[in-house]
Amino acid sequence: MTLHSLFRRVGVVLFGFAGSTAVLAADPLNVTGDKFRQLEELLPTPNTYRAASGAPGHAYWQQQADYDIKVSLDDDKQRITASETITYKNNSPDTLRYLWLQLDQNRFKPNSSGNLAAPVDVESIAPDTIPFGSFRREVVSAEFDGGYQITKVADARGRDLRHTIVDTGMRIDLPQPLKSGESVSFRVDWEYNIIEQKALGGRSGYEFFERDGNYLYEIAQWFPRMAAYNDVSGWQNKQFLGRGEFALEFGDYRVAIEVPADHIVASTGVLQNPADVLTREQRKRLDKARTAKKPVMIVTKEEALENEKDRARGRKTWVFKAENVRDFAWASSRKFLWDAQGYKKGGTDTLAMSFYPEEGTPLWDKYSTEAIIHTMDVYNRYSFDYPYPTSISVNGPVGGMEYPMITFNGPRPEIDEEDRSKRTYSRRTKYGLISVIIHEVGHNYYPMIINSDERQWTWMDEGLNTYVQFLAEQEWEEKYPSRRGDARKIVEYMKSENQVPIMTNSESILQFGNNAYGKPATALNILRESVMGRELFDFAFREYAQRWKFKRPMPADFFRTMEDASGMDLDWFWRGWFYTTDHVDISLDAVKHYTVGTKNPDIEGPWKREQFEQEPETVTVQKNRTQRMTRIVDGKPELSDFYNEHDEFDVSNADRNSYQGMLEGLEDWEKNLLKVESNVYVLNFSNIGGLVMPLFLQLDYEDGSSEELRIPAEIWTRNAQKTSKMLVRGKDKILKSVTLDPHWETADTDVENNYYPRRIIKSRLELFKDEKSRNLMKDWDEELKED
Amino acid sequence: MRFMMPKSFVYCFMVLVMTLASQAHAHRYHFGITELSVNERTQSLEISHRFFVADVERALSLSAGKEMKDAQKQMEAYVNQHFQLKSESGQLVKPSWVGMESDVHDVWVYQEVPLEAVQGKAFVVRQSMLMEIEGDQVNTLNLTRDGKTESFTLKPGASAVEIRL
Repeated sequence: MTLHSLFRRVGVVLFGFAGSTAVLAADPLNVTGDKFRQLEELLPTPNTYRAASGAPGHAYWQQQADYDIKVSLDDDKQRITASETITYKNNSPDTLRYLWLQLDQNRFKPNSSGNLAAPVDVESIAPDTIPFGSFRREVVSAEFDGGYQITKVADARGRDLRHTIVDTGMRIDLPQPLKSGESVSFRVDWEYNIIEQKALGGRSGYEFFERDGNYLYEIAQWFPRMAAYNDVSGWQNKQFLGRGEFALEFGDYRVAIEVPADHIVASTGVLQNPADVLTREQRKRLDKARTAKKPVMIVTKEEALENEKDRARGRKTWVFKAENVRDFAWASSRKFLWDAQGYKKGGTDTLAMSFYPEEGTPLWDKYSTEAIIHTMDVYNRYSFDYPYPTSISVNGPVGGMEYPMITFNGPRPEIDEEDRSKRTYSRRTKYGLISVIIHEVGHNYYPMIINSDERQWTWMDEGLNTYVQFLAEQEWEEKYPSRRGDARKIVEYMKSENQVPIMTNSESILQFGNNAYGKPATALNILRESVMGRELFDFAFREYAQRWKFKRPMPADFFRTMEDASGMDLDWFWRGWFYTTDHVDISLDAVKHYTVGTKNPDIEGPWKREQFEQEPETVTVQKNRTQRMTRIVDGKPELSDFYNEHDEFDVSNADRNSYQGMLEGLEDWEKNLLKVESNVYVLNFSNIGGLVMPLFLQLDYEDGSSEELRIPAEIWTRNAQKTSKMLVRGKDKILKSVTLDPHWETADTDVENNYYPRRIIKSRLELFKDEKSRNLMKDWDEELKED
Repeated sequence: MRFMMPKSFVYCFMVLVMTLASQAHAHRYHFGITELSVNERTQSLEISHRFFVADVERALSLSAGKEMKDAQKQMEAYVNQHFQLKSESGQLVKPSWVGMESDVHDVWVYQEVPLEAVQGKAFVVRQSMLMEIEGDQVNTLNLTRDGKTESFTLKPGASAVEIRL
């Protein structure tokens, strides 16, 4: 069947054009549903702290928390002992009678809410099995003496302060209320056992290397710290259950880290006493690295291997200072190799550095520092110039985690234990490492500097960061295997019904990776490429970063800024993608072909006859002919008259006079329209998935030509379930086929209804069966070997 | 440097297992998706499982016996242990194994059952892959026919659901 016969070829009355294509709804409010309704009642009312434009309001405020910390690492017991003085400045307009601190390590107390609330049901999993990871954690948690031991809470003069510990929080009651604009200093002493990261998971911990008996520490969530207090949530004292990450205040830090004398320390901030802890040679190499074009080894592999053999008796204290950071983390080991390279561009003047055990080579020396610099290079363009003096990537037990200026990243090559010089790494490990470094270093922007509330909204940092990560990956090399970003990668998830909206609190998210990383990142990429265009999107997205750097944005501030800076009403997009679980499935239901009725009987008569003659004969007529039926008028010609000679299509003078009469009544422009020899097509669409999206069309004509059309989403405004589009094309442009979303840019979940005429779309399983010659494990893991 | 292809599954799989030690993720996904799809054209109930490679490697290494000769055989055994279709009378319907493929991030496993064997009948579907490792694993079961998808959320403690095909 050709498309031609599918088209209805109907003459239409010219004056019927106006308004005839849109299906008018009987109940417009109900039919359009809420798809284009403004977000007004869903968003908080703008106020002096947060403006309607999405920018910080004229009375915006945030608290300031400065820390002076002394910490000692016990390498024999894997234990931290520390003391801090916190200076808290109340910039809010409120008077505070008590302060809330976060005790994140208490997550690892055997009776923490995080542990107690972890559900497990062994019965239904598989016969006679229990979750291995859960089991190991359960056993280790029960034995492990985790969590903070708070040994002192005192005011500036050393007098004990009343305090109450509530799971992962601590309330300190102030002797005098802290008024707006005032500061208070107080002291907390504490100790805790560092967790073994591999046994208990989490975002920090130690790794033990059996072969040489050394430890590698990645230390984070290691000090009692101020809970966030802000204009939206008051105290953000939601417990740390292990998933919803952190809500933190900016501040200045001075941290003195005492470790075994032969340890190398990587840390947030700038080292204040290099002469005390580094050799003259190491300091010289660091200087050289500042202007180097390639990473410079500060501690070489040979030096690190030598270092890890001995155990120093003495201790050294590394002092770091960091300004305007919301958190502080560090790493320490005698196993570290260390490389560095300066990066200076625009407002950025920083030192990119990597710390890794020799087990990380030959992957880490090749890619880590380069990936850090690449990340800043790309992110700077889409947000702001990286403002901190260092950016570090550390290899240790944590798979991937971000802190200001320092990130922990996991992937390592495989080592042949019989010949340790033989090392391989798979494709997955290589790209896994580059991607995780881009992702974690990218978190410096979202949320370390654009300080969104992670405990509340995971998507604001993970989603936005995963989106820019995708851009940075695609700038690393052509065909970079990005996991997230392209619309086609999210289709399976989008069509699943068991979703929760992106706008869901962190702890309640189902399918974390897809909900908080994949879907928002993909939505933003679609918004950029297919809805707003790169120029408008990039300007608005950068404006959001500029407005909110070193401040705390909320979801509405992002939504509003994107509209404010682009001049586009995107409420329909936020509503559909962020507030609902609808998906895109638009069906191209029908293509109708119309031609213009000229009204001229001398043209219309023959045309109508032609149409009639194209109709198939009835069966009766056919059979009568084969049976050579004789008719009465054949034998009696006297029964024939005028009507036997002229059929209904013949044109009479009366018809012609009537046509002339009509023409005289028309304006010139109306007469000209009647002469247009156009093909008119009406395309009918229905919205099955619920999400309204622009319509992207590819039109292929019989003459071999092809065109693409991009129709804005607003075509759905009057009716969000069904819509139609009329296209007027020249007389030679006979449509052969139409494809909706030809580049798969909308995450349309069912493409079978995207073609006219319909096509059979093979399932993934069918395609797999078709490729007989395929090597099943080909892509599983290709080994990269070094000669 | 040059790229080398693994010589056999054995070699390849051994590498996978050793990779595990260093693959710990703070940002873990613990999520898988199984599609049951009625294909009227080929008269087949198509089954595809999509999981993260890293998660599956971990599961296989933990469920493996002493000898792991054939990664694909092991995967097949693992899938058959955790994904099951049980009829109302309690009989197991064993899908035939079509194959598996993978890219840098994901692994897809394909199985199928002739449509006539299951159409119109009720089944209990259990999909508990990876739940033996992680207590917060979430597997989505999508049942797609006539362009419509029904979804079920399976978790430890509720890893089975009754469906009618």
